[in-house]
Amino acid sequence: MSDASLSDATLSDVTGRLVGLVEQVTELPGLTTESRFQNLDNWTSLAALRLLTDIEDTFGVQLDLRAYFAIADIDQLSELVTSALAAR
Amino acid sequence: MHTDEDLLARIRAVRGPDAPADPGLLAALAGLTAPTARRDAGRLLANVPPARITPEGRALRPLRVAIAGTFTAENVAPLLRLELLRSGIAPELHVSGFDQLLVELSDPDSELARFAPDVTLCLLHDEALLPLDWDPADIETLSGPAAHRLAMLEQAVAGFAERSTSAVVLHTVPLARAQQRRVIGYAGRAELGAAWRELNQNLLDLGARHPSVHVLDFEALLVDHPGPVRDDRLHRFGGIAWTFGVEAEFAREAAAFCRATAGRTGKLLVVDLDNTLWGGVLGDDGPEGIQVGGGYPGSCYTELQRGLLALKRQGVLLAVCSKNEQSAVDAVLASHPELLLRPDDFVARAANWGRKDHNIRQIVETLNIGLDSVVFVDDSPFECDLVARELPEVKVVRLSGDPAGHLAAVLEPQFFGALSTTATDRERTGMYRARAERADFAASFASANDYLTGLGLKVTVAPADEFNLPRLVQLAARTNQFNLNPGAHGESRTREMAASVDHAVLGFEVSDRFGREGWVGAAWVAKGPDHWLVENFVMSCRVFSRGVEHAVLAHLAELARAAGATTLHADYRRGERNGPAASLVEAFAETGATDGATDGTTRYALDLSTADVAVPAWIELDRREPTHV
Repeated sequence: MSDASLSDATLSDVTGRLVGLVEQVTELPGLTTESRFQNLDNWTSLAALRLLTDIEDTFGVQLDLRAYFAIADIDQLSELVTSALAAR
Repeated sequence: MHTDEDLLARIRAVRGPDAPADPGLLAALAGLTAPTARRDAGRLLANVPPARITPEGRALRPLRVAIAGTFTAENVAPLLRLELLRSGIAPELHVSGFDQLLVELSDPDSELARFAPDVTLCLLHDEALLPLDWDPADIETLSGPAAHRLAMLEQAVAGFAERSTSAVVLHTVPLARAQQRRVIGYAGRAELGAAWRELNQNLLDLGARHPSVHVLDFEALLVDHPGPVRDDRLHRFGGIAWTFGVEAEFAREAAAFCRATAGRTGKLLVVDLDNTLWGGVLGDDGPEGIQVGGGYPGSCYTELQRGLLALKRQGVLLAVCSKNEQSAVDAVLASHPELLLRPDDFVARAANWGRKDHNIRQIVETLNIGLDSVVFVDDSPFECDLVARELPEVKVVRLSGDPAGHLAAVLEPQFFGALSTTATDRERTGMYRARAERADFAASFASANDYLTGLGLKVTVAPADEFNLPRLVQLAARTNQFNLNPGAHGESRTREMAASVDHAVLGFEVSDRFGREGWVGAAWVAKGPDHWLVENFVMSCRVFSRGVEHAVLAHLAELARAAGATTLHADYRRGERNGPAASLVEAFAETGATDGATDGTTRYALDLSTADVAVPAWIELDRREPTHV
């Protein structure tokens, strides 16, 4: 397996798991990677912190809150988590 | 993880206004494992009527619980809801906003006051007591203002307690590491530690000064908590003073308190004996062979007994429920030098070969207490599963793994909480023992079929071969209870018989849905032209009372008939310990002493032309063909 396909596989896996976590926290099924957090029902700062805890628990990373709250959708969240995973 | 997701899906299915009922769901909630899944379950269950997830006829105890904090405490609510539901309590929860504790307590017309809680949980964090700026060179600048704040809290709590019927729960407070690190001198840190302990000491004293106020020593529990108390990001951003793990820990403690308030606590602990109260099997190892006292692992069982004795002294009733001979149990409890628990410490001692669910029912009826106040402790997955299934109200503690963990397994779920204990609690065992004194605990073996059918019992019978023969010989030597003829068949005799055409040695294996028990017994048979003789039959006590011996007997009868024999004989030398083996010959006729026997051996006979010996319906018998050794 080449490096490129390996990182692709890892990336899509991260995104998929994040979609699941966001669906779980918001109780909204059928989200996409472009769904914007601000437009989601049930999206409160406590829900955001619950999602943070779940992400950190699932991936074993710690995120910078400033970067975390600057994020608009799951695509960007995936980038943040992936770079946190790489920095471990 | 998979089960967690299945359970969350089941919860989602009962959420809509017209959702169908799922009466088994409440019991299934016990299977939630991941802490985040428990939190999600508690959140999803917020607006589900408890009746929808409860079996017909079982009502949950309603309880109004308020959560008010000096910080953002609303994450505790879903965790607490789940813990309470699992305890048989239907909670109505009220959560106050960020830092609303003092306001809500003080205002007679606050939302909290109007909610009229049964229990008010007051969640505190260090910054609520600390002044913002204290001088690390002068700890007085901390302790003075902190004492003042605590006095204000006490005043608010006392006022609220006076106006309300609620129990008010406070707790001791851990000091954040960063606060301690502010002080660089070791003498100063010691002084800070002393000042902080004094605050917690004063908190603990509030319970004694105000009758409806109770104080959990939460700081002491956090010593064992894996992980930090605070996530500074969540604290600074959202005013959340505790990490998720600490929230869960508090929810567990608060739920235990609520159970005690609601009277949902255990009154009777029913305990198994072999490999539970002591290590080993009394019937096989003898009183001198069981493990208790001395060094490891006997010391673990001693510690468990010490813990049970402590429960007894606080009013919890203890009872024995063991598959054993009653006389052997009574003797060992009365006279074993290392046992801490003695016959008088138990309100009832049921030692027999009957079903444990029947025994427990009988004990409970004799004592006239509810099944829902019973906690059952046993090491056998079979017994635990049977009791959990037949008596769903009973709390079951299954001991497994290292015996050093057994006491914690019994105490940690906090089934026995009480708001306070009194002098009469010490006398309770004596009072109840009088009720049970004349009861004869002889639970039946009958009507086990329904349960045993679901067990998927499989018995495999196979002639002795090179692989299993050493194990069969070992079983003959070590089995004292189900043994027709103790000590009769050693290795050389067994090899001779296995190789002879006029004899057979058959071993049997048992498996069920809990797994394989392996080789658990064997039969030594002499094959005559008209009569077959069972010279010996042994079976491990692990598989008693499941009909296994009857399945093997049916197989032997079948083989004997096919070989043209008309009678099956069995020789039984009844001694002190091998009473249980009588179950094998219960369908046989006694024919008197075996010819020439002077050791008390009796011959039993089964007429194969008339006798009806069948494999029990709940057992699948697998007959292996003899392989030539």
